[in-house]
Amino acid sequence: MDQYSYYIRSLKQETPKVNFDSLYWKIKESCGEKKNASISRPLVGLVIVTLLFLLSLPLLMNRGGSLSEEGRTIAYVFQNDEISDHAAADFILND
Amino acid sequence: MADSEFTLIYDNHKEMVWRLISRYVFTREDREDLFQEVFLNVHAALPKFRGEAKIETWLYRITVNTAINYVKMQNRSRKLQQILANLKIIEDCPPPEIDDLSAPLAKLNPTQRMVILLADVEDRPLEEIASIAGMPLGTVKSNLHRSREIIKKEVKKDGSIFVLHPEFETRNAES
Repeated sequence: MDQYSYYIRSLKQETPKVNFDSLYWKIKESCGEKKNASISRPLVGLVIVTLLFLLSLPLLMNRGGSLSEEGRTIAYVFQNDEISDHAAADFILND
Repeated sequence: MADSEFTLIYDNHKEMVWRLISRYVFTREDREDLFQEVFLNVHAALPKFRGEAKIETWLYRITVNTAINYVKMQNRSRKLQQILANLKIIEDCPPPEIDDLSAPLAKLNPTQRMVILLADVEDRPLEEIASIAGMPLGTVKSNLHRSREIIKKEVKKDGSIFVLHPEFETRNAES
């Protein structure tokens, strides 16, 4: 047998001295953590979005609240289509 | 995915995976780390396995790809460590010691190493290696030829390669 074949045979014959059981449980543990992370990540996202929505709700409800009386009238007129767009534009430009 | 399926794959192939990854990284810590990473990838990929390829082929592919990526990442981090050591920001960290049996293989690039391990140690057919590596058959053949030449040269150079690393023991040698 030449040196190369002997070398390959040595590679084939080695048996690892490893505790495969303990590695198995470590892997299972990590798999569980990954699974939990993949479930909890969308949940955390949903909670954040909901919180942001709830926090911005008062701002959304008071939309126009900080406008002047005149501004509020313009907004009302636009929203309720009481005048044409041209008329509204004239109103704003002439103001 | 049934856990029993994963357990079965682990039980049947753990030694093969260990044997392969042991030729890519050389410290016990790295080997355990890479071994776990391979099986975590297997666990993640198992639901997508459609059974078009043999399970062994699929597993070899995951193992060598994970090992090659791990080595690339390690090399990048070692280069960064060297730069930081040159700048005296951190202390110089010597490269890991390579056991005698792995030393000739360490002279090969990751692709050559994969080809020779699969062809000569795992006895996989060249067509299967081409499928595992995602390369043409001709490229596999030329890589194998080149790798054998390098190993033969290395084996001639150093006769002490057969002193095994304490982490391993040899089975009874065949007559």
